[in-house]
Amino acid sequence: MSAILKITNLTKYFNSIKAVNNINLKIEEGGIFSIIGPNGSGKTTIIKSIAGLLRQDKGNITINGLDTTHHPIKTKSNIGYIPDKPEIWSSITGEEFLYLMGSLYGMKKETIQKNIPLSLKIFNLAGIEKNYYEDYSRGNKQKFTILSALLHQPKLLLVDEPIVGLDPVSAEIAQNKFLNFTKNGGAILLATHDLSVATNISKTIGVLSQGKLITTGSFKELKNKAKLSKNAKLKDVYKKLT
Amino acid sequence: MIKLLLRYQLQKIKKIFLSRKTAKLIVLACFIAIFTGLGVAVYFFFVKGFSYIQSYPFFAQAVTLYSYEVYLLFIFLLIAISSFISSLFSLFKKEKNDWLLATPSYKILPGVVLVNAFFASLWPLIIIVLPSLLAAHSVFGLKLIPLLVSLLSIVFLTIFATSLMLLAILITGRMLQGLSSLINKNFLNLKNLAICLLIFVFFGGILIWHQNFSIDLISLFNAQDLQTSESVVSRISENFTYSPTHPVAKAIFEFQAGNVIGGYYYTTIMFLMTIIVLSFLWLATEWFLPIWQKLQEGLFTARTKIKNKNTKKDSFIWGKNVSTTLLKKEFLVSSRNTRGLLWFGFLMFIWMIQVGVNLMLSKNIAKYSINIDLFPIIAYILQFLTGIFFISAFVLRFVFPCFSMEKDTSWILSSSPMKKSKIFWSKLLFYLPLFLTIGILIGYTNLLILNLSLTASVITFILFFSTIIFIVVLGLSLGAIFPNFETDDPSVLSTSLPGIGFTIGSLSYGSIGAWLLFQNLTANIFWPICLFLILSFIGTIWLIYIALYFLKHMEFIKNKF
Repeated sequence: MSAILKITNLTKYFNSIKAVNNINLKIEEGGIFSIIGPNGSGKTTIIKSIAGLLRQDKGNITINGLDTTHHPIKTKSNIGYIPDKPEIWSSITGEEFLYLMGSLYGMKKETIQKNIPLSLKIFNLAGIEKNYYEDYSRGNKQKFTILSALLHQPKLLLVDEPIVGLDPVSAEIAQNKFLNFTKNGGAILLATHDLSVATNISKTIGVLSQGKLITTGSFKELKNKAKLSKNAKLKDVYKKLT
Repeated sequence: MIKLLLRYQLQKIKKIFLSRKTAKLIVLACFIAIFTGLGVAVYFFFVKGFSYIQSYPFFAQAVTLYSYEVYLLFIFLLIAISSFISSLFSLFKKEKNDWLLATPSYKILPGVVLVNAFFASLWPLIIIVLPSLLAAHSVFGLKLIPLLVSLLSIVFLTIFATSLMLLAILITGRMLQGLSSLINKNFLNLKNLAICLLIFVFFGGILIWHQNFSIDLISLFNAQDLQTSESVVSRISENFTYSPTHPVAKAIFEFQAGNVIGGYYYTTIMFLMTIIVLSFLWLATEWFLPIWQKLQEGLFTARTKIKNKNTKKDSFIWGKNVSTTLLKKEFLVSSRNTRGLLWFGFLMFIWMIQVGVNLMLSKNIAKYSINIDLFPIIAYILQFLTGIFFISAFVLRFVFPCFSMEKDTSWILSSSPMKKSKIFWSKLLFYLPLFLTIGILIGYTNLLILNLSLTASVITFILFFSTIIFIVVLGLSLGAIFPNFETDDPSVLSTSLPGIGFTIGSLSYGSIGAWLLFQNLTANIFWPICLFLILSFIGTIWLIYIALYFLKHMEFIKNKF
């Protein structure tokens, strides 16, 4: 299988602080890689660097074999980004936001018009799509950003805190949607504090501490590395390793 | 609680100087320098003006009183409208007040907003009122104690104006709430509240205009009968009797005329008016919490079956490509930004006052066949400079902060597959035609009373247009080169170091243009204007080039200067 995302020696400084320190990781088609780690460990910085919101100081990021620094437009076309804060312009409607995102990703108007009703059905949002964004609850805002990231059918999904603010049913729908996405050949990089999400859907988990990816592996492999029993939970692994 | 809030305000000021101390000290120094410079300029302007008035004994008293009335009314309107906009959003829109509204001391918020609005309104006192009173002290011999009491009466006027607007907001909110209960349909939302208050301000403005300015100046001053000077002052005084600023104007006038008791009498009236409004405001704070609670409600969307009440046929259809989509996004976001539209209306309102004065003068000139050649060329230049000032104010408020205001939404554009330069072009294509249209309006109305030849009019227009293009590009480029993602408040962004840089740059540039126009009109020298236009063109291209370079390397994170 070919690597959709490949990160080599990624390093990012904020003034003199090394926020991300020499990160290497690879996600292949159908893969879900979860990054877990304490607050300020660099999870969001990694996601933002891949999404093109931050510029790395060292290292390479390639998506589908293309370098993000040299081919920013082509690589961004293959990314769907779900930020940690689902903030958009307060005075546009959810439907307009989906139209806007489709247009920005070069989708045809007819395709957008066809896809939006289908997208709205996923989270049962039909009926509120013409309300202004500022009137939505935190959870509904999050749902619209998830839909916007999936609308143009990207290859790689970058998800920063995926289920914050979602009710249990919607959280389950989101997780199923992510799993379906990878079954259709996509790949996901997920940064989260919610260890249950990481355990439920990830094939590989990376533990990040002070900008360094200190260990990676499946949940089972991490338990072995942490020398914990079979019944141990990810929380115990996390506590042991960070 | 008050101590805690005051300490919080002090901490906020201290926090400003914790990071990038040098830059912020430079900003502070620039501010002090600009304020002092403006204050000194205003002082000399008034000294010159008062001396001129005094040289015509027949008109001296009448013109002085008329100037005070008009001048204070203008300041009152400035304070009232800016307080209205800032208070409306500070009272109901700021989510960070939730914690305060959850405490038993929630009633303190209108008080805090009032204090903030009052302090924010102090700048006209420092820059305009104090220098003008000092000028009155120099020219008319206004003594120190009367001067201080006059200043105090203007402080009362400021409190009166800010508290009156807060009271109007609460009363309107209460009325909308009452109407909602009466016919069982919710009318109380921020949009309706703003519209009702705008109608209130609009009709208030018309009333003030009709009462005080739709007058024949020649008749008012009785200029055709130079034998009857005594009755002119009382006629002007009567004309402004119902103006809220009348007691202050009369207080200063009486002090100046040596009538100390009269001065104290009018100051006391102003004080009592302020106390009355404050008392009503205190009573109206009872209504604050229910209004606030209602305005925090979003749309109830927890139900699975919701009838879509939005009757719009379709959502806004986005453009065929990225550029037109971005352009439409600018239009949509700007046209639905209530706060931005209110500030836009406020600036237009100030400009309309200037237009109104022009129309009043032109009406009087036409009526009495006054020789228009009496208008000195400097009047043309002042009109040109006024136009530049308004365009700069618009650009500073709307164009300069537009990149920084993308703070929370920057992830959308910067993670999308497009060149960042397209963001710049879409903003330029949105704002430039808008300001050129405003420029045509300003230029045309300013030329209404001027008897310029066709050639001079064309030159003025070309110069004005090129200046507008340069100023818009300057504002947009500086905003792109120095984005500030620490705040998305345009008023804070406008007072940052790059914001001050823009103000100085645009006004200096406009002043050079005005000086060249003066040279052209007086000495018929044309080539400096041509050189100015060529340099403007080169400067515009260079600014765009630099802005696009910086945008290409921009990171959307905080603490970037």
